[in-house]
Amino acid sequence: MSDVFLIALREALQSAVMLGLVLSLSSVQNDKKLLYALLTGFISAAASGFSLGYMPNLTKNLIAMETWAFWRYTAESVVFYSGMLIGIRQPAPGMKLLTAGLFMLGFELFFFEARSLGFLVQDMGAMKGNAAAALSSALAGIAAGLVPLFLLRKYFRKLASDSAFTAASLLVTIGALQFGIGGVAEIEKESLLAPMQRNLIGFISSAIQSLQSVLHIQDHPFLDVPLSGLARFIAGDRSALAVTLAFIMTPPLFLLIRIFSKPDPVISGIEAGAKKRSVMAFFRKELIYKTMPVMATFISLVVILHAVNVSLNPLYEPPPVPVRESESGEVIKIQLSDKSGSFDDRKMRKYLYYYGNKQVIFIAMLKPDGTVGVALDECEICRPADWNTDAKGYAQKGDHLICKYCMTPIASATLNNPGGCNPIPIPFKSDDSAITIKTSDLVSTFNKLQELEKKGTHL
Amino acid sequence: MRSSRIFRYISSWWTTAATISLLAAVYIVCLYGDSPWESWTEFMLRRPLGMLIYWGLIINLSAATIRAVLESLGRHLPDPGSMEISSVLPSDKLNELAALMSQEGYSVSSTASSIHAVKAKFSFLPGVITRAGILIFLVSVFAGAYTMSSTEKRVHEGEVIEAFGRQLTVGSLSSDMPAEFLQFEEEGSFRLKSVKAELRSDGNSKTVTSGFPVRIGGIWHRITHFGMTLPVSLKGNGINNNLNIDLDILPPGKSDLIALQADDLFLSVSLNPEKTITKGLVKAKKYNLEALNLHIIFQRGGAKEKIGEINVKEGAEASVSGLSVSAGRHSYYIRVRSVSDPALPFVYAATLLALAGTVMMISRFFWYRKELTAIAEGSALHIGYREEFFRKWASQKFHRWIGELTGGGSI
Repeated sequence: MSDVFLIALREALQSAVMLGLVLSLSSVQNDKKLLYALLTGFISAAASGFSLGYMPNLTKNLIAMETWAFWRYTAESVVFYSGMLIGIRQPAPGMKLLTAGLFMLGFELFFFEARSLGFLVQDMGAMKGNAAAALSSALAGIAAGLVPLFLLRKYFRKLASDSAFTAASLLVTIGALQFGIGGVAEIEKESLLAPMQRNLIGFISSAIQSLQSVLHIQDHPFLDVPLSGLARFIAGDRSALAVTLAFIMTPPLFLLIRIFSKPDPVISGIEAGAKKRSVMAFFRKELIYKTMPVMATFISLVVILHAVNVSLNPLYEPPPVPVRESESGEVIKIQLSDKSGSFDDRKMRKYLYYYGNKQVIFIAMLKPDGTVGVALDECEICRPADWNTDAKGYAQKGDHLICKYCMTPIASATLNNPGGCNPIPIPFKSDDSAITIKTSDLVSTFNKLQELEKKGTHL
Repeated sequence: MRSSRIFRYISSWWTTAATISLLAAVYIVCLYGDSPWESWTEFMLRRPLGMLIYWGLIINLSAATIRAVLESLGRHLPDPGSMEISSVLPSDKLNELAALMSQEGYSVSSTASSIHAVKAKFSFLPGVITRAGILIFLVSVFAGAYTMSSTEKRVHEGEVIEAFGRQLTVGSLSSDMPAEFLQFEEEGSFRLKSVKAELRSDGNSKTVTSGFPVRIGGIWHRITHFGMTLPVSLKGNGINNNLNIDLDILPPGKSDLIALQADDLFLSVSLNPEKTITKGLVKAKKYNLEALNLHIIFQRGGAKEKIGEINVKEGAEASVSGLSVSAGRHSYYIRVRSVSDPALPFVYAATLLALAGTVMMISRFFWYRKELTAIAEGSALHIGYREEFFRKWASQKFHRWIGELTGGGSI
């Protein structure tokens, strides 16, 4: 049951980090009422969430399994955007409201993860036929995940996160963290941004079609319709990406603008130069401290969005197919169409040729002009480190080859052109049925590359 | 006082955000159904709760537009203390301040005891134009949902369209159909840029295209489809039929299934390429679109059992399985959509307004309201200043002016 323990440990640790951020605020530490409200929220989330997940029959008629993810997304978005709302309104809430708010925040930090965890534990326990062991492993994992929080409690006071976090930036940071690590990956694979982007594509495309219908200029497969090009452009996935970008970037950008638009302190009335400098230094220091968490959030959101986009538009990379030279040993022949498919599909193919104890991987594909391109699966410029060999070579995305190391898109039409980030071309001949590569050409190109690599340079 | 507060609530950005959030929430709920967009629009335009939210948004936008205009053009003098940056100077600086503001390019209106200086007074226009566009659009779409009705007819040259009690004769029909077309692989590059039909009614004639709809006698008309018509003669196996078949076989490569119910016969018709060109691995098919060469598959019965297939050229005859087929010279047909929609001109006007306003929004980076108020009370001159955007610079500018007026230099 070590897997159950590790999953529970990971989830508890993630939530503990977010809880730790809130606990590091001196206003929370110094007020027992607020502290208890936050911790009560967190503990009751752990208890109620885990129980609801562990006994799915409790909520079966109330909330369907698939809508749990929706409510988690909603809760994460509410936390994220409430940061911005607080930034705009700058309210001064009463003690009761503050206590209730902290209870809710504590609850939100762990409720959905605890529910998913409970469900997973119940499921794994049933599968392995040992429910008690699964349950005890999970509880041990949760306890272990929260131990650091307990042990480090006296250091929170020293963290002085008040100088870096405002209530607004803290909520935005927690919301962004939840977009990245919210949910239990084993049963909820996606962050909010992936379904959001997918549904936005549907929404925008329906909206554009509807607008065309309202204007009575519905698109047609071959008749020229006014603004149809623009409509198709807007209905593309770029618009959905732009809206998603606006959704996740508005709160941190708003907070950054707010921080930087704060006027400089008026020091014209201060006579002593040292005092003037001290006031300005304090102001600048505060500006830097306040900027740091928001900037970190901003950058992590860019990373999350990039990861989501990659998951929505995966790279195509077929496994290399071993090839052998012909009986004469002089050439390698690759059929353009055989039982494994035809080059007409314009998909990249990878081949593996064993040369002594070395492996030569090369790629071949049909270019848009109808001719074939053949090249080594090696970039002329990028050389990933030995620990990063997965980033070696190329993958395909639409009409482009992508260098897996630097992610540079290369138009497939330029395959066989040397230079830049293009794959290293291999001389070959082709007719209507096959590609013929001289073994000596393949080996000499490969050897040339190896020699230059030894020298520490590239082709 | 109370009504002005209600007006402020109705016209606020918060109300706009709340209404849009509600509509977004409803859309998310609709996502759990089969056709989310249709359910969502149905909810907003036909269901009482949806209409309430929809009209809530309309009212909010109207109020916000009125408020923006009133606040920008009103003669109300703002209280200096309530403005973002304020200061107090001796009241004898009033004239000096007025001169300074004029020098800075502000439009200054002053009395013996006050100054009101404004820059970019009309900078509210982009926002107001955009909002007005969206507003008219929302109202027009709502009206259109209840008043719009449409019909669609397939017609040939010389035929009559009857739409909404009005008769229109299709005078002439023209297109930029090429004589031949080269189709590469499966990519659909076939496109007709100019399909026109002359529609005549009561001595008037107007040209209708596949572009923007054309208004004839209060009804909007537009070509929504274009196809080929072919006279075909079928003989043999007990069939003797002369037909004018409307074929939907464009773009080249597409096939159309024609059902001849009386003869229990189905014809799957497509254009037959004149030749196939191969360059490397790329194949292209060349179609003659002037003298058609058709590929016809004959099928029979409910199971559509194939009984034969032939290639037949225009003006030629071919036979298969005892069935002889002759094809005449092709002509064209169009489908015309006629729409009675009183709201349509408003929808177009609204779209243009909203687009124009959005484009004008770019100017807001440098065209934004700057306002200074100064009121002399006794020996004190209370000065307040605000700028819509870039407030940090505004603050620095204000302190520089105060420095200039007091002779203390800038901060």
